[in-house]
Amino acid sequence: MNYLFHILILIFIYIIISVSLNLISGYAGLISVAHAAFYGIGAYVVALLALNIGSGFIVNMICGMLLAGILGAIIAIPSLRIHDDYFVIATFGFQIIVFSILNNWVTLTKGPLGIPGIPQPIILGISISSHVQFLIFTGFFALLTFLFARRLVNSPFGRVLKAIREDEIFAEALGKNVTKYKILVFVIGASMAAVAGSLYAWYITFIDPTSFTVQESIFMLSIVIIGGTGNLWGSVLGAALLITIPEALRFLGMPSAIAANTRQILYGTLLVIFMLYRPQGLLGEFAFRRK
Amino acid sequence: MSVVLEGKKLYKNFDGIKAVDDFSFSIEENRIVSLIGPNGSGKTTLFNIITGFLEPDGGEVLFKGKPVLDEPPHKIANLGIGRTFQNLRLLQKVSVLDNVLLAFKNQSGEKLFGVYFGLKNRNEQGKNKEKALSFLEFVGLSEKAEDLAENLSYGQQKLLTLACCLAMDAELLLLDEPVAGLSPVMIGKMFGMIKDLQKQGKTIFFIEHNLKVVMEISDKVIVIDEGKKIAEGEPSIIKEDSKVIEAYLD
Repeated sequence: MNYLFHILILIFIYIIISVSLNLISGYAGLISVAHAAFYGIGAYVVALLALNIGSGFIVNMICGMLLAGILGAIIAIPSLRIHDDYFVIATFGFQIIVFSILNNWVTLTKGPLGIPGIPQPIILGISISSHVQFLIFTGFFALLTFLFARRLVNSPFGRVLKAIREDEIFAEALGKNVTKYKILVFVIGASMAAVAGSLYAWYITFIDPTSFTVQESIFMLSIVIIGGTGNLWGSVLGAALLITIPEALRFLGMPSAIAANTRQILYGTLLVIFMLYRPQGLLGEFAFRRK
Repeated sequence: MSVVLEGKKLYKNFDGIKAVDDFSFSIEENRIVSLIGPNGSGKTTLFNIITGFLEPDGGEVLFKGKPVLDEPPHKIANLGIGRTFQNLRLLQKVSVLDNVLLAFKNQSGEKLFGVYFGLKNRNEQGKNKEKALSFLEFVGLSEKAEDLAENLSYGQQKLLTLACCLAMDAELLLLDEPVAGLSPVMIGKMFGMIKDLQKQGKTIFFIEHNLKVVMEISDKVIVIDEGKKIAEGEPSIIKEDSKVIEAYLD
């Protein structure tokens, strides 16, 4: 039973990730491979603050969101000038930098050894530690994120995001400050990823840099693409599928060394198949369009 | 008659080619003014300069007496200059109605605060939707409101961009070849609308390279060739101008 809860908790965490990345890449069309970096920032901030300062979990999470948001703005600002492929490269660079810092700033992050013993959140004197408690806890945040994002994409704000994806110059000619929206959506997405990172750190209680690599970022982008860009339910479905499918490999009795590589092959293959045969993803933008 | 838009001594070079060369012009309020010239004569370049998409090498543009060239395109648009593009720009994978709704200025729901805490937001969106439908009705697309823009014909897409300009509530409309590629019936319809817009108080400045087409509708014609203004005046005068005839016989 706990195994099942474990999978569900991971799905909830990844829903937060994929919904937030969908805002950036699916709605605004800014393809980013830096999402794992923001996720990592959230995780490291809560871990380091809790262990070194002992501040409360809510404060720590907000600090993580702020740092991710500020860094998100910093990499979004050059996007005033760069577009498309160049933007992807800029986010790639940022991802590599963040990973290197986590891996090499040993005095702060303990480098590749990782940070063990992260304190779990305490709400009204109850420590969130069991699987059931975490299931409710992460589920609450996943729901909150989803509702927040849904309100955003269904508003005139969301319409401007789609306009940026479809035709930036047209949006500009209609008087929309495209640059401002790009920065805003990046900041929002980045701070949501930090929430997911915090949840991960609390749940696993151990983090190391290998959870926040560029491969992880690409995996996150695969969830969004396979689930369906421009559709929040697509991100929910994508997270559920891409977390569950590799678990099935476990039951095939593969040695874990092979299973890990098989996962990578599986994601790659899925991505290629979807790009070829269903570029809009499982649930495309218009999956629920009445005709 | 007050001048809405004024350009003074505008210059623009592209790798030594003078796209716009010492070009000055003025557009009076509530007039239909056409900018004509052969292909590659600098018409669209001039529009791009006015709307802030292109920085000129020299000169000034004044909108209602205020210089606008230091402003980014979205600010210029918000001052009240709407434009359409020659190579149609639209949100293809978005509904016709949403294309028009996007164009409304200062929507509270476009600000983050408004999205989550704006009390006026819903009310305002309802009003905008009503207005948007009336603009679609004006251009004859109300039945297509829920279709994706990519499913419209070329002519219908041009009408949609016009509806977007209306939703922007722009006083001055810069239309880049609004009738190019349209059937004679559609051209008549488009010109009818442009005249209606004039009656509603709008000022229209539009590009066309077919001399005959613009004569019946324009109050004033400006002729550009190789980046220079070669003639300006009422259509009947322009028709007799020897420089214009020369440019068109080349």
